[in-house]
Formats: sequence, C-alpha cells, structure tokens
Amino acid sequence: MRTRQMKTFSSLKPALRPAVRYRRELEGVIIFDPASMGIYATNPTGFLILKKINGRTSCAEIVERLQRRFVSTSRRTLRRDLRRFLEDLASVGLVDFEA
Amino acid sequence: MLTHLGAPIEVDFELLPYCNLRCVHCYSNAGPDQPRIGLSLRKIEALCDELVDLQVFKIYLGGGEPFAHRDILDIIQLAAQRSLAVTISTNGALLTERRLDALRRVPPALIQVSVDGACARTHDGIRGIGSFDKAVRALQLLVRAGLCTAIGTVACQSNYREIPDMLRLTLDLGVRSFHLMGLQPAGRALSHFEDQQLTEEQWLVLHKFFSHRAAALSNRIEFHIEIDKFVLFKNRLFTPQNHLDKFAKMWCTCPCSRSLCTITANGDVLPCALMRDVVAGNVHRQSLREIWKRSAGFAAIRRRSLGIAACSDCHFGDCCQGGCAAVTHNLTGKFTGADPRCELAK
Repeated sequence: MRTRQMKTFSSLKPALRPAVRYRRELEGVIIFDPASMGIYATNPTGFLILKKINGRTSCAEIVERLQRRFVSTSRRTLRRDLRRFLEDLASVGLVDFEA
Repeated sequence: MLTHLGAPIEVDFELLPYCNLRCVHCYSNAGPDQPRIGLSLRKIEALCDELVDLQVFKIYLGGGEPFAHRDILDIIQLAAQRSLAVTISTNGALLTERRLDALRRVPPALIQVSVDGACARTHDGIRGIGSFDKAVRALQLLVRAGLCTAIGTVACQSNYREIPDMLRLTLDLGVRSFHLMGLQPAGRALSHFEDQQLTEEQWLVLHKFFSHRAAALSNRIEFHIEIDKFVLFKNRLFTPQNHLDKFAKMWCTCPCSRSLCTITANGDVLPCALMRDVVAGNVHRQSLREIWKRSAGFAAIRRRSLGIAACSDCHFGDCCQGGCAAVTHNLTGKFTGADPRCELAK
C-alpha cells in the first residue's frame, strides 16, 4: 500500500492554477492568486519548486532536481517536504495535479 | 533584518481628489469642491508599464470617486491588459448601465461599494442625502451584471447597531463579499475619531458575531472583517502565526511602505493613503522604482518598529511591529513609537 502511494505521488505532475503568479524576493517568494486575491509567501527553496510546477514535470523529477541541489538531504526527506509544500499550495487552491 | 520587499505587492491610486459625496469620515478629504483633475491616462499607462516591470500584482483604484475620472474605463482596461488585478472602491452613485456594459467586457477583480448603514437614514447621515439608494441600486446592477462585488463598511458609533442588518443586506442583494474595517484617524475622520471609534466591548461583540456568522455563511459570502487587532491582542483572541518565517511576518504586518504605497492625483507617492504628510517622491520627477528604493521617508518608516522599546518583549511583536505607522503619526504627530491605540504598550 505504502509503495503504491509513493509511486502515485511520484508520478503526479502538479500545475499552478491559471493566472497564479509569483515573484522572487531576497529572502523568499511571493505568490499571488488573482482568483482569490490571496497573497502567500514561501522560502527560496519554494522558488526552485515553483519553477517546476508546470504540469509537465513529475514529483519524482522535482525530487531529483532538489536532490542535486541538496546533496546531503535524504531523498525521503525531500519527498516528504515536497509533498507537504504541494499540500499547502493545494489547500489554498494554487495547484492542480495531473496524473 | 528584512524591512521591506523589493517592490510593492499592491499600489493604490487616488485617481482624483474630486468626489460627488462629502462623507464625514473620508480619509482623503475628498469632496465636490475638490478639483476634477488627476493623473493623465498617458501617465497612468506609463505607470502601469512600470508596475508590470516591478512585478506588482494588484492595483487599487480610489479617489475621490474613481468613476468621476473621465478615463476610468480606459484605466481599468489598460491595467487588465497588463494582468494587474484591479480593485475599485466606489460610492456607486456614478455607475450607469453604459459603464456596466464596459465593465462586463473587462471585469475588474473586485468592485467594492461603500455602504455605511443598513438604512438610508444612517448611511445618508454619514455620506449625504440620497446616497444610500444610489449605492443599493449600483450593487443591484453589479450583481445582475455578474461582476465580483463587495460591500465595504467603516464601522463607527453611528452604524454599530446596524452591522448585523448590513450583513443581511449583503445577503439579500446577493453580494459576494462583506468587508468591515474600523474608522481610521485621517482626513475628515480625524476630528470625529475620538467620538466615533468603536469601544473594546463593541469590537468584542462584533468578533463574536462574525466568528459565528462566518462559519455559518462561508458558502454564501466571503468575509473580510478587520477587528481592531489591539483588542484581539489584549483579549488573547489572536494566535501569532508561528509557522511563518521572518520573511512572511515582514509583509503580513502593516504593509505601509513595506509592500504597499499610494500614488495621489498629483503624482505624490505616500507610504499609504492614511499618511498624507510623508511624501516619498513624485512620479512626475522620479520612477516609482527609484522612490521605492531610495526614499528617506520610506526608509524611516520601515525601520520604525526596530526602535520601539515598548514592543520589544511583546508576545505579538513580530506580527504587529508597533502597529500602524500612519495612525501613530496622525494621533501623536510622529511615527516613532508604538501605536497609541495599543494598551499593551502603555
């Protein structure tokens, strides 16, 4: 069961909702959702991930990319952090998932 | 310490000082006796281009009365063409069927109509005779046109008892959002502030009322209820968002000159619309980017919270940062020091 869940997550291709925009700041990223007029903030790592939330890149590929950047962090931790980050974005309606 | 963003998230435009009404609580002293001139369409277009370049996300069109600006529809259109999310604050009196047709073609993100009473007597007492019927008519037209609409209310002693009925009015009209904010001590409201501001007990009643209503009506209406945060702090009704890092905390406090600024009809750039004496620059002489980065006035306000001894040990220090710089300035004559409304800092 656990393996299947992990496989499912890995193959998901998250996409930012249309019109959602973001911009880099010195110490993080500001995200703007015109649909709700909501403003959100995340840390600089979030910027790396946001660039890949394009509906074409799978979660496994995003983890792969993060692993290249954070070589001393375990893949498991990166996968967990990515999942949490995507869940946060989804909870405020910023992302959709393509299987 | 990070004190401000690289560019504003939102820029507010006071399109013109003229207003067809003369509300007793207007923070910008707008009225029928004020000139009907403001920034030219060409200048606003150039500014919108700069806002896009700065990656500003949204603009707020106010005044005076923005629909008294002869180019208002063109301004909305050119902002929309640049993907700037537009909020318009209006009294509704100048909204016509023809303008609604144009708005339907380029819908703003939000049109907020000011309603300061649940009946004509209260609303007109604050905003002028006949203004209630015009505001309600405008809301009906906007809702029928399918535009995203809000009622904006300034809570004060004159309308406090009617606030539950105003929520009912919002529901009856089919308006999507209800925005409630406190009276701000600026412009004409400054002389009424002591008499008209709500008491702590009244804010607590409203907090309880909206806590229940927001849960019950969340599928029908969006609430933006700005309960006086000092009342929430004092009564421990506010939980600091500890999960936010210092970056998020910086911009979720008072946005004045940190993530927001105001451009007035003559091109002056203010930290916010409530702080009218601190002019950071003028867009006829400098770029907004230059003003944002180099203004000494902005720099002083951004550093303000660092020097407030009374706030250094406060549990809410991170998410309050000394309160509102504009209110502090308007009530004490200086913006160094804690917000005078805060009892915890006394």
